[in-house]
Amino acid sequence: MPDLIGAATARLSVPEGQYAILSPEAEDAQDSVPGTGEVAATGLFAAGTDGALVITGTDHGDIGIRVELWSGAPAADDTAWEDVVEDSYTATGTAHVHNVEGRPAGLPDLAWSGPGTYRMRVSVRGRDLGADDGGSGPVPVEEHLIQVWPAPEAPPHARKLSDELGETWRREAADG
Amino acid sequence: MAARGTLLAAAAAGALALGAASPAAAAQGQDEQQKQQKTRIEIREALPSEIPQDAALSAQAAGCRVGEQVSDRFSSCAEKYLIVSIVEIPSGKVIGTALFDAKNKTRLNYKSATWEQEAVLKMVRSFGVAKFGTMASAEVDCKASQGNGCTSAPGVIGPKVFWGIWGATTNTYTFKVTSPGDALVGHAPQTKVTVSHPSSPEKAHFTLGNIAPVRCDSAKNIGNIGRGCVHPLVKPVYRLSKGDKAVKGVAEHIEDAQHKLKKPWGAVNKGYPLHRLPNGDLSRANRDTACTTAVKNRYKPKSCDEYPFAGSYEGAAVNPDYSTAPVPLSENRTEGGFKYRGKFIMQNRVLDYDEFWVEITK
Repeated sequence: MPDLIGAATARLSVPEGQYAILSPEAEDAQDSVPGTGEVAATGLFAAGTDGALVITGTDHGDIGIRVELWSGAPAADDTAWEDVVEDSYTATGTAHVHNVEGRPAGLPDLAWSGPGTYRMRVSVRGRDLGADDGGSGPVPVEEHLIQVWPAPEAPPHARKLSDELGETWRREAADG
Repeated sequence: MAARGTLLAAAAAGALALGAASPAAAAQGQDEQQKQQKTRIEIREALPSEIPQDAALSAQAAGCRVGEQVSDRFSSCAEKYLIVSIVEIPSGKVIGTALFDAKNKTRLNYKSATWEQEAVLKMVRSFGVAKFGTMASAEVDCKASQGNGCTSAPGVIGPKVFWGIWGATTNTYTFKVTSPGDALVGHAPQTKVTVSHPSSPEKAHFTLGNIAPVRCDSAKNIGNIGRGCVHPLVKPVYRLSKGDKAVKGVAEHIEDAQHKLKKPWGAVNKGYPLHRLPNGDLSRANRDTACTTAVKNRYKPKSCDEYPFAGSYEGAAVNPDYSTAPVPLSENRTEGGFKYRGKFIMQNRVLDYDEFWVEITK
């Protein structure tokens, strides 16, 4: 059984319906964030070197976000989530959650064991509600869980795709 | 050759005159001292009629304009012509003149508190003793700055010599100017030039004014990139291309909105720039006013795009003159995202309430 090294929860504002994981101390850190085209395959999440992009349904409000740092792959409970996507993230420095304005989420460094390649599993629910609601209520209707563990590079893996927002995104990409 | 020899001799005489004014020469008689010609060096801005036409034209080609300040968000140039005169006292006779083309430039960096400030002095023409040994030093004067002022390295550059005998000569003075601290401050750093000549014990000063104001900040909501500086009076232009498939629908909507709304919000130089509104209650209210649940449902499966942007003080909650349109969800997210508007805001340091233009291109 892998160990849970650490976990933290935050409320993250997501202007423009997205957030990134990046290395804030890197030169031109934003340049490493994948383009929106790169999330087309899943409509949710894509990662690379020093950059990952997550699409939210909420586009000018807040989401609830939890990060979990693991020593190895944690058990997956896809039934509790609407969409679940895994991808590999290579960190040359730190890895922090930032919104498009650059404001940090107040969450720990996801590259918890130092530079190297990690597997990230992004599980989300409430994106469709968030898209309708605007995310301005006292409790965010949209929730994201990011689980991170050291693992060799592997192709992206969509464990579960079910929400409307992701489907719209994928269809737009397919229609080109 | 003979003429050059004569002028060299004149310059040497000037240097001797300076020597005669030193304490070592105090023993010389009063009469003799009065015979020694004293000189004074003066500097002033050239009148338009004194600026050679060809010089003005070549300067234009180089991106600076005489008597004007040319600036974008990160660089500026102010160009002036200066006249240096070396005058014999008490006769008032001008024994040397030189015409200088003076350029005062800045090169700012959106992610650095240090910018480059450069004075380029070109002695275009010179006559008489000014041909030999005219010198100039330069320093950055940070006095007209807010907060902790600014600091420059090095403090003074020069004096450097201009030799008129070989035609036009140019000296360049490059400073690294730094805005200390974390505060949002405005700087008006002047470059002060000091000219001298061996024949004159006094020096003359001239401030190459007209530099574009510099603003430095450490704002966190423009990408968290640390301190950097811009020329804030220049409104940056956010450009979107209708030919860019990733944002085509958004670009078309903005172009349409700029034409059909009562006012051409954001359209370049049409009088209604947008003002950047960072994410918060007002941007949410803008979004919710324009893209109501009813409107969103009507547009599905496309997403609701609004203009002026929710991220502007011209948004729907405070401005009834707005537009909405259905655009692909991915385009909506792309346009507002890290590679487009987010990058524009970061790279131009578009702070809260900063003005900007929005230009739609083919």
